[in-house]
Amino acid sequence: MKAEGVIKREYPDPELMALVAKGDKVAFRELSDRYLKMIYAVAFRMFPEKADADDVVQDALVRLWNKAGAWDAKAGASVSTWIYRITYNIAIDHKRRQKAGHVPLPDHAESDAPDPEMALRRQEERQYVRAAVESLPERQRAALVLCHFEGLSNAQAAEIMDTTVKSVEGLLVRARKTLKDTLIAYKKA
Amino acid sequence: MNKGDFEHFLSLYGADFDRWPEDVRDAAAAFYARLKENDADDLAALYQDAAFVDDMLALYDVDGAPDADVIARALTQIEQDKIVPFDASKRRHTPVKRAGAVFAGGMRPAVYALAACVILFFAGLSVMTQTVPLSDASRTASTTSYDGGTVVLAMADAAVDHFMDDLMHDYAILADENISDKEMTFLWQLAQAQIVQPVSTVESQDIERFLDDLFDSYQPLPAPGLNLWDLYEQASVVEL
Repeated sequence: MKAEGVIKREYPDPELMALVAKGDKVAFRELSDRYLKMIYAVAFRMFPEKADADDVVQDALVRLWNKAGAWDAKAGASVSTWIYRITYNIAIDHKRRQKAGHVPLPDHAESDAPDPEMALRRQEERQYVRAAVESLPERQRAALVLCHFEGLSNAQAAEIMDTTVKSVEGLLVRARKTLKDTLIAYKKA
Repeated sequence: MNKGDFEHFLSLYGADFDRWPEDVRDAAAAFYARLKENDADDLAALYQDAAFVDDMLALYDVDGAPDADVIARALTQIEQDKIVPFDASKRRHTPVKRAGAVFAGGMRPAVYALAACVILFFAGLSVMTQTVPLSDASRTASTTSYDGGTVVLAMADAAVDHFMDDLMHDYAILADENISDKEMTFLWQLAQAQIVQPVSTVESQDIERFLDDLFDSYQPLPAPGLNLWDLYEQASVVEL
């Protein structure tokens, strides 16, 4: 399958994983490239600062390399679910280390868009939503990121978060309720 | 679909029916159409709120892209730190001593007592849970009575999540390491963090949510290294 160190694009994930587990760096590059955007999206929504998200991505890739041999195709989890799980765990670890506490909601924001008033309003809303999501407890945020933003099923999110579907549902309901209260208060203000 | 179903799915998935389970989407759309015809203001308001949250969440887009050289940096780190792929064939199957040490020696009676306390709490919960109205009519508190005393779980919503985060994180690590004492660790942390007495300002929803999470998450090992019911018989309730 490899020709002069190049892996064909259509090579299936499980076989790439097997190669990575054997220490194949070309396969690692290919697998990383396939999932880079997905890992970054999860990392960014868990840590809406690019530098933090990049740190999570790098750690997730190193974990991918290190733990590829632990992935078991027979256990039923797809490669993507497994990588989501790695990313989730890394993000939670990072968040614990940071534990900076409360995330202040912004009062206003600046923008250089052409329609200043509308753009300013939109930018302010964007920052407010970001802060509101970031203020959610970690597991609520993770459930929201995986299910709402990544479009995974509750069952997939439960597998990634190592919990039950019912727990994920509880987290989603609480996350949405908190966001509703916060965002409606913002709207009224 | 009835009103309760609609509210449930709305609170879970938001106002976009495409996000709802496929087998209820048509029923949801039909229910919503009837809702508008019947001037059901309360549900319509809930739907509008959910739609507003969805619209706001749509603004939470991902800024930028991962660093172009992040894969190269990961490879550099792998080489510098001499990180080799984990060999699953050499996975450790014997328990490590980390958790065992916690429960060894002088700590053991205290752990037994706490385990018994928690078990007692669970046992009491199943038969003696009651709902008590608080002075604030909008809130109630679930309390559990045993042996003349009262045990409740009191946590704020965010605290429940943070506690469960820490708990499940440690629990997962222990499970990964195949430690047979993990049930005891679980109960130890639970007892440390949760049992308060007497009843003060408790929100029943907090208790129920915590218990939901707890019972959903807690799965005894098929062949546990420690049998909790044996511990219960060994521990003296008087110690509590």
